[in-house]
Amino acid sequence: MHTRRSFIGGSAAAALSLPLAGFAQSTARTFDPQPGAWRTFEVTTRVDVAEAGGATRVWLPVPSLDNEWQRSLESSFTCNGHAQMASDSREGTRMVFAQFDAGVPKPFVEVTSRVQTRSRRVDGSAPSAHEDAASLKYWTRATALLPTDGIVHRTALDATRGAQGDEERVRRLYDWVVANTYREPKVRGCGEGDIKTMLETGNLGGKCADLNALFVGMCRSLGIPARDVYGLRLAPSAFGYRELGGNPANLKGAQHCRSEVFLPQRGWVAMDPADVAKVMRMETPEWIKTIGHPLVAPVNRGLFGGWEGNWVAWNMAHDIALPQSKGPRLGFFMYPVAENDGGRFDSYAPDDFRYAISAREITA
Amino acid sequence: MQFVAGCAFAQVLQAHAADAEITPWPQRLPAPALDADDLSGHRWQLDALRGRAVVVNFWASWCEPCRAEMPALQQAAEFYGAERLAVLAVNFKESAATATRFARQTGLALPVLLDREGEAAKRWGVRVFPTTVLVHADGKPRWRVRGPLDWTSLEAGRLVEGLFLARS
Repeated sequence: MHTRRSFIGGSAAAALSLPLAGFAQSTARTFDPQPGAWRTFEVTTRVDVAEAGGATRVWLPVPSLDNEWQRSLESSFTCNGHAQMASDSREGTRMVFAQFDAGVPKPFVEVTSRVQTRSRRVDGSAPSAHEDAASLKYWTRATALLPTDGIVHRTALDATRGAQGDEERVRRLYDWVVANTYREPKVRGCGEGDIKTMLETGNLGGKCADLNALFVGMCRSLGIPARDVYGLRLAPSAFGYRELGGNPANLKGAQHCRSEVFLPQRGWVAMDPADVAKVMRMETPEWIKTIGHPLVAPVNRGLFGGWEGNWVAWNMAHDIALPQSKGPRLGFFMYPVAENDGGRFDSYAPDDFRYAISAREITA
Repeated sequence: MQFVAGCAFAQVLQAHAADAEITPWPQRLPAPALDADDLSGHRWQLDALRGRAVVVNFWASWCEPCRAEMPALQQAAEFYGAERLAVLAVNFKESAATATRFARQTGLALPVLLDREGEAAKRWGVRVFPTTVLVHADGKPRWRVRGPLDWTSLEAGRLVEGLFLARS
């Protein structure tokens, strides 16, 4: 059971300011995640298929990344069908794949993954990072949901006019995403999630837009390597921002996509303009419209080059072919997916299948 | 009520319907094919509906604006009657189970056609949901509406009534 005491005990106290009673009322905020001690979490997802309707297949993402801010440890699972670890062959995106024969009553699968995370901050003194040219080119490619031509490219060019160098261009695109989201849309319709439709409708808020995907797509359109990192919030923010954390007891709606860009002098750098926009729109009942606001300014600074380790990254994959699926490729893989021979179930509004996600922090 | 066609009217509509973008269907573009079964197994073919106005609405259950406009679409269908107007709700890429559940939960009585692979949406140039194409009784599309519209409004009434055959 996640408790406030264990949460504090698990943090690098020197690096984090602690939320106090009444802190939320104060306008003096900080947001300054720094790499500190590793935190260990156990994340559990349980999927129950309510109306199996024949042979059923379920896929659940598990942590697939190992780097200086995440260590993906073991995953275990139980189910009343047949389950196995699997991966997308292209990027090594790992998952649990469960199959149920027709007639299995109340199919379920439960996956528990252990992961270690820590906050990150770009360090101006870091030596130049190396990535091979082929790898960097891979991270500038267009995908089904990230076209990099047409309105995407035009918008990126407009936003970065006069900028010198990739870092300044990235800064301008970050600022553009923060400034242009949640505005009154031109057309209040929704796309399938592709960034071209987002820009055409001007509908850049709420459920109709994946803002970090837009940021990544615009970076790629200018030849700047960038990638989405799809994951799940695990715990509250240590800085008192409600919108930047999750309730560990119920993380069903806590999926969140962050992003990274590659800068030659710094390597892969954390970026999350979507969360800046989210704080502005949702942290208080009043919609804050200026980045200089004392509540927003620290987050605007802190999420350019950093993020908190209260989140697990599943993968960075696009256009994923789920093993043994009869359905189309996934634009991204951040939610459980299920299908039977009648087709895919709806991951966003699961009436066909229910799932629950929780996490607990393991302290020594 | 006289139907005033042309660019000026389209501009008026765009000014009024802040949630939707209403544009004339390109005159040179014929109606794309539409041939699909609804959830009860009845087959709908656009060509066979000549003589009736047809409103082709592309939607998905994950699309909140789609869900919001559905009741008014159904009201419009009931108001004008099936002899004059067919309103077809084309579901984008969802399973029959999902579409059926949505229809049952909302009391939707419009014919729901399934576009399982998204091919119909592609043919009709639809990427924003909801998108509604208004087809005249002569079989030629007249308007494309991107975004949700209040189908019980005066503006919508003018659009729909302009699709009927002139009474002699």
